[in-house]
Amino acid sequence: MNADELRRYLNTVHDSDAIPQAALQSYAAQVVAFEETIRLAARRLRPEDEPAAYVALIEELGRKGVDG
Amino acid sequence: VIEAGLIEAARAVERGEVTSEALTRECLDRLESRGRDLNAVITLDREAALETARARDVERAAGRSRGPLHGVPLAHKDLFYRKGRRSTYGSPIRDSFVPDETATVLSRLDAAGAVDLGTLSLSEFAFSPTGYNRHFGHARNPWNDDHVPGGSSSGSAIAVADRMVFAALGTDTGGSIRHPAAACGVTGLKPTVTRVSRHGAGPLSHSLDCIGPIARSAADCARLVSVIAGRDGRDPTSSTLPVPDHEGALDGSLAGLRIAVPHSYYRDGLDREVERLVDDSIEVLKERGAAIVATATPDMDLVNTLGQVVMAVEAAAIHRPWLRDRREDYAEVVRSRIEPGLFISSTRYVEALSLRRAVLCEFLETAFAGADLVHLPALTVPVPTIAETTGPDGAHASRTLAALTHCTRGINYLGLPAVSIPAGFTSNGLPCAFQLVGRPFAEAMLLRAADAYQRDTQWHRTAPGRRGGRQPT
Repeated sequence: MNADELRRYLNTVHDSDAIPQAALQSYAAQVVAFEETIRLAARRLRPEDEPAAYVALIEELGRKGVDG
Repeated sequence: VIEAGLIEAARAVERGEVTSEALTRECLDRLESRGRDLNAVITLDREAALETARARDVERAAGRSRGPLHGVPLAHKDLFYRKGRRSTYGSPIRDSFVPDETATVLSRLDAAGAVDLGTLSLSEFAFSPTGYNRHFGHARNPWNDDHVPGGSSSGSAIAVADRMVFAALGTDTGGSIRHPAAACGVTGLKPTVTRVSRHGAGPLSHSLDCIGPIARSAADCARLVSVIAGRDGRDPTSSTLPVPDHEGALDGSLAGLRIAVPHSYYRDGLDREVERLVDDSIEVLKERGAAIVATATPDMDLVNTLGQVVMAVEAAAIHRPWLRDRREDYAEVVRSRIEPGLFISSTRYVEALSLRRAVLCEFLETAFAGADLVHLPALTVPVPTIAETTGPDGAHASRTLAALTHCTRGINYLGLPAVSIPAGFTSNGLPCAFQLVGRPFAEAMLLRAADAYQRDTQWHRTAPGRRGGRQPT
């Protein structure tokens, strides 16, 4: 897939043509900041759990009671 | 009775001191007049509600009670589905949406005997912490209608504060129960993320959404959460843990309870007047027997960012077809919070969810640090005016909006239960509040502490237009 094809694909998924350029630039800045924050957090906290591990943890803490 | 709380109202109906029909008629009249003036109401089911109330009165006269809410009138945020009744979600896109099933929480309230009066206003698609809604009109604070009522469960908090209903359900994805409860001077409980079934509730973010009660007191919240909580086969994410007797746990004692007060992040930008009232609430808890310990906070900017990523992606997935086909039916402020989610990579989204366990552990170790509960401000500034949050000074409006969510949004990513409790009034005459946050499934402990506080204060009993100072009992 080349760049033009990729952009066409993105537009079928995101319809980004309908979004004004200024808004797209603002979103892009936000997304870059999100990516960087998560990248750094992932390096520090090592998210080796699958997302379901979180649910298992709160259930376990709930089962143990407030001292869990 | 209308000035009393939910428990007193239920007791009055049970004893035959007042009929459900009389209570229902009075609540409907208030919603039709004051409720409409404050943009708190979307749809009222007047005839259906009165018919249900009369049926409850017949049952009571025959010695039958459906449950702990028998004959008590309630109304709820307009995103809980009831079969055959439109559910707008605060948007013209859903203006004619009529669900063919009823939300589990409404079914449980029905089974407990409640009378459903209709639907209350909310921010568009439950976005906005102020009550802003371009389509239905900005909801207004009953203490001063120039001010925001908080959002997104705006109508629920307004109606409870201004004695139009005895309690109302709301939803909380970043503070949408706690902001309006704080701004309107009522009590709002956001339960643990999987404690209450979300089946039949309009979704904003599947991983973060919570349903909970807004009522005048912690005791009223205890009764409601006991009714709505618990496993539901129609929501496979709902917890299988048994539901404790929340109301039975309210013994007024805080002896042996350790309450942590984290500083740094939660004191950043805290208004001096708000700080004084929040600190006063700590003193009341201490006088009741709680041990107060100072703690730190982990990196809450990280927690907030992770929550924002999860919410944006999940909301974007829900809204993508409407963003494509009905783009102009979104307010720009709402669209601009959803659309970034279209551009976040799926791997980062999964990482944001995968970090949740580690971040929760870090928060428990740092902010709780061995304590049972955490004490936080609810809002960091006095309740702002509508003009301050919608005016031409965009930078000021953004700062004000950020201040409203500063202390609430991270708690949703963590998934912890929290309760917002009235703590007095700032000099602009608007309510101020603090939060207590618990460990997973510690709703009973949270409500016990909140109830103990409310036994020594009168803020939660004060209605708009009838305000006094602090009046310890």
